[in-house]
Amino acid sequence: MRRVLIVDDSALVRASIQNALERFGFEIGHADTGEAALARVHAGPWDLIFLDVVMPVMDGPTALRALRASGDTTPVVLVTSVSTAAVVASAIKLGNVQYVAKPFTAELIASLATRSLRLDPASLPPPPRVLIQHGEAGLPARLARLLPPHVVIDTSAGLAESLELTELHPYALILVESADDLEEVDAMAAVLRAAAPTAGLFAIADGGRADQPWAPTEALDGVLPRTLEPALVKGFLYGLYVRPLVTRDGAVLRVGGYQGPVAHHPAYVAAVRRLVLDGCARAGLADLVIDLRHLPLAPDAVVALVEDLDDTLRRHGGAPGFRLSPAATAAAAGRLDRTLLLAA
Amino acid sequence: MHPLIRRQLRKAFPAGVPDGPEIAALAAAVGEAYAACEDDRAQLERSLELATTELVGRNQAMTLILDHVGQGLVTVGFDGLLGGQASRALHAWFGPPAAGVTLWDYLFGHEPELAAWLQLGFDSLRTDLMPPEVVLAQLVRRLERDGRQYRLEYLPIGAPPTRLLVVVSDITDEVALQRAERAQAEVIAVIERATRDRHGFASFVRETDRLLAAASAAAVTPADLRRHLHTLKGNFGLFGLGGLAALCHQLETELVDVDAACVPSAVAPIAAGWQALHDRVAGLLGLSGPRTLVVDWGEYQTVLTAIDDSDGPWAARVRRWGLEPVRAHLERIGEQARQLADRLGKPELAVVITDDGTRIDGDRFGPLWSALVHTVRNAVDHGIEPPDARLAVGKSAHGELALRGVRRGADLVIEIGDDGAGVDWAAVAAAATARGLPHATAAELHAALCADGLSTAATADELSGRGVGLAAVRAACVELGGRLELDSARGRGTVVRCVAPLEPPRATNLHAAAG
Repeated sequence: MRRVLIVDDSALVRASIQNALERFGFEIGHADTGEAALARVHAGPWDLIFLDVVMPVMDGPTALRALRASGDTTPVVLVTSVSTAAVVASAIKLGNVQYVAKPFTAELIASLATRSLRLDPASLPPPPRVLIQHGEAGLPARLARLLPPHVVIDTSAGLAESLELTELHPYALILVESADDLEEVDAMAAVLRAAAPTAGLFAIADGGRADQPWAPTEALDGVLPRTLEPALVKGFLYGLYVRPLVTRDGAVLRVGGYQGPVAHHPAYVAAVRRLVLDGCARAGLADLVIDLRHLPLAPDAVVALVEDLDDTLRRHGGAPGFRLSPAATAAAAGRLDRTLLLAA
Repeated sequence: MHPLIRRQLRKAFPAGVPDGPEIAALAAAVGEAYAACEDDRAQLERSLELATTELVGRNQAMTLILDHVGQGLVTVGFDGLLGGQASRALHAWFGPPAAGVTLWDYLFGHEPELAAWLQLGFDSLRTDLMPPEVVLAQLVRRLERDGRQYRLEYLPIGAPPTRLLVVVSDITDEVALQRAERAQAEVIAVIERATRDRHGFASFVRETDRLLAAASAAAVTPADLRRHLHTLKGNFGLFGLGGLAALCHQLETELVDVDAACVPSAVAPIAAGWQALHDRVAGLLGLSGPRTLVVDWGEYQTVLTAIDDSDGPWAARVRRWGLEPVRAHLERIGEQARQLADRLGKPELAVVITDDGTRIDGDRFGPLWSALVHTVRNAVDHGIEPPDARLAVGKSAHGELALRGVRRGADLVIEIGDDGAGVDWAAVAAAATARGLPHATAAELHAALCADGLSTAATADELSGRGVGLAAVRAACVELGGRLELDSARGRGTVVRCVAPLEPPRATNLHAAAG
């Protein structure tokens, strides 16, 4: 998973750059000062950095000079608004620096990323898909307005059609709107869960709560209110289920990508667990490295997740290797000796 | 034998050219070959000449095209140097380009910062630093010079591109038109919004005035200024004032980026924009006057009934709230008269309005005002003479319309007076005779003038149209329990006077009158 760091003191600008990059499925990090950016760069490698010029605490050019002085050559796109041409020209001399002026278009940001990361536009990952089974007419359109444009939304009128669709496409998220009582929806969901084991699976029904969408039952991950609040769709559903959280690169499963504020959210842990297990099954268990370095979890939560994964994998006869950050390793000291195998 | 061959033979045989058939055959063969070469050369010369002529023609045609397009066209290498011919428009706008001049020096010599950006763009193109489409999209696109505004477009030439065609268009008029249209749309949005929600709009206006004053204060802190701007932006957006909202947004962005000591004077363009808008709509929306309160009509009636029941001294005062100032009606009529004069191509009308603050029941007097429109039309169309006729009798070229609305006892008196030619009573008498109407006394003549359809019988210009109007006005007066009076002196003008009771006659009085 390519990692892109967006550094700007305006959350709005960060969000619009991130939006322009959503369809690539990068793991995206944010920083709001040059200082915070340097800290994030030292914590782990990035493939591309969008760097605002004017920021409090430490401005872009200062951060860039510090970065290059430390030998880091990560490609940087300077994001400028009121800066002078001289400032930009001297930054360019530091090497591997491009620039884009605010206000920018999503296309320009995408062009810059494509070129810097040498992406072949033809080899973009297939767009994520969402399946919505519903009887309420306006629901898919409402959902479409709230999700980024690259997400494909398929609709179905009933369980039989939904099952057919799950055979045709992998789904990141399945939503089942129903007026029936939840037990019946749960029974229906159990069938869908078997057909699409990695998808987030939610009912849209009366009694769903936007502040508590994660309420797992036998098969369902939770129940959503019919109103489909923007924060619920854009943050929770998109961030946890539609955006890539786990990618496979040869024998390495990389976990990351989650941007939400509550990284210890059980929904996130559950989603990662499901995706990693599925990834292991697809990859074959021998010599698999699970790269958890970018797992945005508190060390305690990492430990719990690793224990859980380890147990499960061993039950299935695998001998997984985990790669943990020093902090997570320290937190796990004495508790994971049986399972920890730090990959080189 | 060709002289050249003869000379060469002599050189080869200094002792004398041997006279043999071989030599003659050789000379002939060389001669033929030479002639053939000569033909080829002539052919080539002709082709070259043709090609040159065609090229010159094409160049002339190209120059002709370049000189006749309204846009400025020139090609530029990635080194920024202007190439070939620039179209005449560029010469006219920015002077002939000096040899070896770069695009940024030629266009932006007066703005070093923009010149530096353009140069940076070309440097990026040349060094292949960024995707060309990203560089092209970011090249400087606007140019302001000598009070004109230009749009710059850059079209890559060649695949892969090695030069750019730069197209410069003068968009000064386009920009002005867009600005005017936007301002117009905003005024309409404001009026719609204000009509829908008068209270909300009034408080929006007060809030905006307050915020702008606070934001312009010398002692404002950066945090406060940003907060004020943000609120202003939201409010402007809410009321459809996109232009002002954009100004706030721009300043907000600049302040965030600069993060230095803020300059309250930066708010000046927003304040000026707001003031301009305020001035345009203030009169229309009654914003310039004192604060007003809008009360639901049903509520008003309920309160009035309650006060009436208690028979207190306040009933009359509250009833006045429901009445309309007579001046507003007179002003409306005056405006109609001015528009009419304008439409009829008459000199601008002087309208003089007199009132004593009397307020009237709008519903009760509605039909009378409608009827008075005819009177105004008569006065403007027929009463007031053409300028030359007026000047001939020592009047000013433009007519004067005197509109008066005052209280006299329990009556409202409305007068529409003009300083025109006055009524031609002889013509009225003649028309009355034709219709068999009595016309011996002044009162009878007045009655005849107000008779329905009298004017259609009369052919005199002075009278045409007047009869129907006066008949309608008289009917409206009578309906109100009042009367119509008419003063007219030949050459000095006409006053139409409606006298009608302000309050409807009491039912008992009506019965008494009927009895």
